Amino acid sequence: MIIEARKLCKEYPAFQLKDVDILLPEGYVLGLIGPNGAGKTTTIKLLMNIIPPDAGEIRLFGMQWNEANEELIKQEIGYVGEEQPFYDQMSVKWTSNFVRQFYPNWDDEFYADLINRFEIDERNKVGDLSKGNRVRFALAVALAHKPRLLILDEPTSGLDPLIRHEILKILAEIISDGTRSILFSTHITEDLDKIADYIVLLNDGRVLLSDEKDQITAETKKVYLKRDDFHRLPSDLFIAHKMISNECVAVTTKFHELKRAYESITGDEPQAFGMSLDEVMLAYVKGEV
Amino acid sequence: MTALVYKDFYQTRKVLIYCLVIWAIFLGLAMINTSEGGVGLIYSAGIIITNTMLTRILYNEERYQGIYFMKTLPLKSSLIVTSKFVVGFILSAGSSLLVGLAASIVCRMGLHGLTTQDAIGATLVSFTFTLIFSGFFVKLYFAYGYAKVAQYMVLVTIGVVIVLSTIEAILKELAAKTGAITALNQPYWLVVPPLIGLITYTLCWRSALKSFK
Amino acid sequence: MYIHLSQKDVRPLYEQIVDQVKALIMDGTLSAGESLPSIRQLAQQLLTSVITVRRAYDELEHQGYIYTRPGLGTFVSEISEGELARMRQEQAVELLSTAIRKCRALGLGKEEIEDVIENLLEQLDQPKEDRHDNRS
Repeated sequence: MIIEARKLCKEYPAFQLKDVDILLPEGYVLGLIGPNGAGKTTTIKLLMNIIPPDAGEIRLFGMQWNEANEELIKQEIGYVGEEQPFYDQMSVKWTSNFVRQFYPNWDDEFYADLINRFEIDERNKVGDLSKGNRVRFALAVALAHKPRLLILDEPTSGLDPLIRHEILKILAEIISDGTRSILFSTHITEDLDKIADYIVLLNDGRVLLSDEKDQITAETKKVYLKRDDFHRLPSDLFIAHKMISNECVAVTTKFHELKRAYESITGDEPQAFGMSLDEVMLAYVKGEV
Repeated sequence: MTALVYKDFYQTRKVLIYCLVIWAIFLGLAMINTSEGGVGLIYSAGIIITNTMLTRILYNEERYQGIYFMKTLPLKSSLIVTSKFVVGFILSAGSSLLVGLAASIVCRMGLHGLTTQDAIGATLVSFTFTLIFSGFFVKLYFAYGYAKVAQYMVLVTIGVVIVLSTIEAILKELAAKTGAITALNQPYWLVVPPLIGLITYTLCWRSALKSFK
Repeated sequence: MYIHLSQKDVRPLYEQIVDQVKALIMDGTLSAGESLPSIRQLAQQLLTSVITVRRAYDELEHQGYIYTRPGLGTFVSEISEGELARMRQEQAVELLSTAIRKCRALGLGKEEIEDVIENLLEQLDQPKEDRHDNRS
């Protein structure tokens, strides 16, 4: 396991993170999704040892966070925070030179490639970079030492679809050799979640859903039913529904079970549609269709 | 470690030059102005330089979330804390050497009736004071953040001055009573204040290491 | 090998890959012995999860369409003409039964449906220049 975090708890005056488990095997991508304020950033900061947990256990690459391991673990991580902090008054060049000293594996050539590919002028002050270029630069800095684990906190929030797609492609490229793993958080899905193997849905500091993404998308479906049929089906098959006169749109989290039950009632297949993770999230968090 | 310390000075290099200019102006004034105040200017340069630089360095960290940034890099938390104490130490020592330099220049020129021992004494007293000042400054910065420190550092400074001068007064009175006043004027007593400063500084550093997570 | 994935499709993503690879094998685009991209390559190309592609490959292998040689890669299986014909038949049954079920739901009777199919077949067998081939 690259990330093995169990029962993470962290209490703040106005917010509480409770019993969050995060498991990520090598070579895979985990998407931490949830609305704003769900606890995604707190979880990531706990995993990164930027803040200490009140309770719970964290192992990265099989190592626990402690004074002796801190450098070792972080040398294997590439991190891009939400609004990644940099010394904004310093130049891009100074910043990369500052950061590279701390990574024995820093690859100058690879870094130069990334900077060229992103078309970033190294003479610029970091604070003068556009939002998109700041993220690109942060990504270049995070990737230049070829980390085994990439941790990205809302990397694409507020960026246009073109840059989001570009970042998605880079991430897909990184994991293609099978030795690197990625954990990212996002509240807008529809892009990064495409490459996610595992999804952890957080809401209000708790894990609502944690599974292989394929399992989630295979079992969570939007179905159109007659009102009467809906009432004849077991209600625990659904997490949300909406009546429109005699029709009903419902979200099921147990599609195969529902299909069997529906077929035994009506002798027909239910009319079902796949859902994006955005819609899945909405159904779980708000109970809305 | 070197990288972190160098970073702080590099980022504030303009402020450093500004501080040196102030020092030169104070020195110039002390040469022209032969009253008591002239020498006072030289003595105060140490704390002014230390305070200006430290404020700027910690303000930078606050403004750009520097501590958070460094915590994302492969750096031990203890190193982040210690590097700031090293910076504080260099500032105290450096600015006090400037005080000493200015004092000895004035002494060489035969102004203000300064002796070599006065110059050495000024350096050591400045070192003590700036060391205790930066010790508290950095410790409180790690404990409460920049905003609170900036707000209360004046009070802390006044407190330190009162405590130090009270101790000095008590010691002198005690010495006078016991007839040890001549012993107090011996040069080796000059090392006592810096020693107190170093002990205080170390305590601040240890306590910051312990509390910072 | 062009594969298109849609999140809106009721079929899971892995099934979409399975169906499309099968179709490519049946229409001869992929021939026996041809090597397929690795799981991670295909995941990168499709911008989809590794698990999805792995599951699709497992399924295709299980159904006998492809085989894996450890260290060498994944290849299209040798499928006999008879087997291919049977698979095409199977596919046709699946496609038509969905269509017929939908027609029934619209209230069409057996004869009406047969009429539609016959008409369609006639139309589609017109000379080629009259229609557009939309398959990509």
